Amino acid sequence: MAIRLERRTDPDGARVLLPIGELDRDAAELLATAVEDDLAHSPEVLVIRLTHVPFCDSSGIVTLLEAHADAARLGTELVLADVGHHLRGLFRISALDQVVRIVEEPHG
Amino acid sequence: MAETAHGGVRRTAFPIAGDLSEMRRRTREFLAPAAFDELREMNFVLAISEAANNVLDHAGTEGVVVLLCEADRVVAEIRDEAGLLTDADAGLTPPPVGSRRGYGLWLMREMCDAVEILHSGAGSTVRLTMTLP
Repeated sequence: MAIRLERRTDPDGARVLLPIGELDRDAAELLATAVEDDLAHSPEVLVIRLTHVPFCDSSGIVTLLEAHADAARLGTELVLADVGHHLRGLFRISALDQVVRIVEEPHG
Repeated sequence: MAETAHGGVRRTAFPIAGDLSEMRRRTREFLAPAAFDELREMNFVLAISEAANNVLDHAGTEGVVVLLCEADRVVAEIRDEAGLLTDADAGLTPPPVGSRRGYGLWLMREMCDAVEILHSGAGSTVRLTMTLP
């Protein structure tokens, strides 16, 4: 399943990237390019919402770390939202959650 | 390759091609009848996928995934004909925080009940085991 990317703007004005699909080696380049495009708008915060990402591997972890570092260099904070149980465990084991902030979002 | 069953052991095997999402789909399909906790199954599929990633990183080599489902455990063998896998004790410590590499074996060890790395004349094999309840 190839990954798709959608974009949203939250009511508070935050830019949101919504990947839909598995975040693996085949998805890495597409996500990296999308983040780059968003960073060109110099947002204060860029949210990657993982609602529709059932799977992420080490390529996905590295892609997220690099995107976070690129964003930080340009003055944007990249955060992750709606991280499910399995991904939360993966981000803890890989210590990604010590680098990238994971935000809780109200649902409803 | 078709699924076979002998003496209560189900077995299947498929080549590691470019499309790992298809490999994961077939793996989940094979594991579906096993009495697997959902989170542990997701962890196991991730570990298998990481091992397959390593095979694909050795460009131009061939690999195969063999899955065995027994009464009390499931086993995945990821065979790499190039035999380029690292030492048996690789991945025992976590990569540094924020590292851009070195997650594969560490994740496999964290996600599975047992990880073995075997070398032979035919290449190297990563054997991942999960016990079933």
